Amino acid sequence: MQVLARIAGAYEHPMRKNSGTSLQTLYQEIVAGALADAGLRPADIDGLFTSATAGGIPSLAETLGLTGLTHIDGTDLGGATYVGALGHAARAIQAGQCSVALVIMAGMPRLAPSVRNFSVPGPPQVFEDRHGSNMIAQYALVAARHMHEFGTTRRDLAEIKAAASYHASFNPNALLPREVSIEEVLESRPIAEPLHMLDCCVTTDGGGALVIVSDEVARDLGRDCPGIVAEAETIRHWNNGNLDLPDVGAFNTGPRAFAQAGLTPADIDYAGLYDSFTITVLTALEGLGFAERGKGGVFVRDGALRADGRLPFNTDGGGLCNNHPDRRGGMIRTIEAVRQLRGEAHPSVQVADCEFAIVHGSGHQLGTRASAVTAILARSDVR
Amino acid sequence: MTTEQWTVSGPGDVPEAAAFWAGLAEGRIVLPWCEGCRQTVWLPKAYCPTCLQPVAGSQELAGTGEIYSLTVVHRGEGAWKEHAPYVLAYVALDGGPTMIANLAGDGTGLAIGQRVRLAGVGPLGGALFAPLAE
Ligand SMILES: [Zn+2]
Repeated sequence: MQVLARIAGAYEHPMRKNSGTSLQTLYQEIVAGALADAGLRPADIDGLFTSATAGGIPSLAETLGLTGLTHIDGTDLGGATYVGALGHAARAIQAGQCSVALVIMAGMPRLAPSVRNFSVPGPPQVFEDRHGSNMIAQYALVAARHMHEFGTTRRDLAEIKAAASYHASFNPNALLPREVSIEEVLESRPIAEPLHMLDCCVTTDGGGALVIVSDEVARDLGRDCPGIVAEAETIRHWNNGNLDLPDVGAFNTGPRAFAQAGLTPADIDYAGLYDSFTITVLTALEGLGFAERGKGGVFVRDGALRADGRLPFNTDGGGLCNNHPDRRGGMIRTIEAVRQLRGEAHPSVQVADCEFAIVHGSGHQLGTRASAVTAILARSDVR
Repeated sequence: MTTEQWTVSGPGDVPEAAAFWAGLAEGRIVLPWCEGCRQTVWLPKAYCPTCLQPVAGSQELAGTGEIYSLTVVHRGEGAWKEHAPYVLAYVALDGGPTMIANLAGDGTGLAIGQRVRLAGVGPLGGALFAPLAE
């Protein structure tokens, strides 16, 4: 197995609701947390991986005190950006473009509009706007089609929220740190049917960062550094009107990531799955090959996603209950996967002998314009 | 700058789509047609996305189709707030693309797979479909 690069530092900011911290201070606290975790200093960073931010990337580099950058990547894949950055950083390190890469994001959508809201629309958005489309409605259209084609039920979707909430009950930092029952999800108010209030992720202020390093750098650090062994990405869109909504991008990225790693779904011990809405998780399970197409509902019904289940997912509570900063979840899903591979998750949800983790990001809007990124990570002793 | 401000005339509101919107106002669905690929072009474009040849002609569709997916939206955003609940859908047009659409009513009696026809324009100028009479 080829380890492309290693994750030396991971930091999730504890903020969920901002009460006056500036974006600049938030970024500084995040980079400090990630570098302290890795045992590195700002001067060590020569690669920066982020997405659109206030003032652009040079402004962010100034905030972070980065003076020796040799590789910069601002690829924006929506909430999947930071899963994609695992691959982008790993390949830049492989190519010798940099040796210590910072992947960072922060935002406070509860306090102020995001600078990443794509306020200049492309042609599809004009059609979406004139028909009253919005973020959740596009996921609802996928859910409705999935239910029609495969008999998936609202109860199946609700179990995904319930499982995440069970995990969040062990996370005092979670925005929604309590167990939510399937009935509560079913009875919460409808937003865009079949999705209801509790099918949605939380909206939080905050952010996080990862420090990705070459094998050589990792060897000199005292830290447990999980390896990046695969990353694959793709885009789905209206495709000249040939829609197949349940055929999400994970059907493309999952098999490619597993082929890169030389692994199969049966090898995976932990899954960090993008969970903007419950349907996002269900379709990813099918695309990644944990369930056959159409069988995602059947897969989750018996509690498979819970910490003691067949495929423990989002053991921090995920975006559904813990943290979805700046409406972008890929960073936090990756950080919890790193905790699992290091054995540093909460003891109540730590997966025993966690050797391989998959992280899947799903950006933008599942039903119209969506990005999908899958990465596979390995425990530090896997060579 | 909000998305709503751009919807009347902005970078996303392209001239290639003008014939579609004009047709819709007359109760017709008119789309660019690529003769080489024998297909409609969706969204409307000057070049076919498959062969990148200039689109020479246009095609008027029957205006009928089948509901591919639908959602009753209870919480509209911006100008849509006052129209909730409303129905957003994808309609698989006969002889054309599966397109974004509105369905008439509040969702009562509507289901995926149902036959529909173009019935006018929706609250904000979109394509509004209603069930075909049995
Ligand atoms: Zn063509």
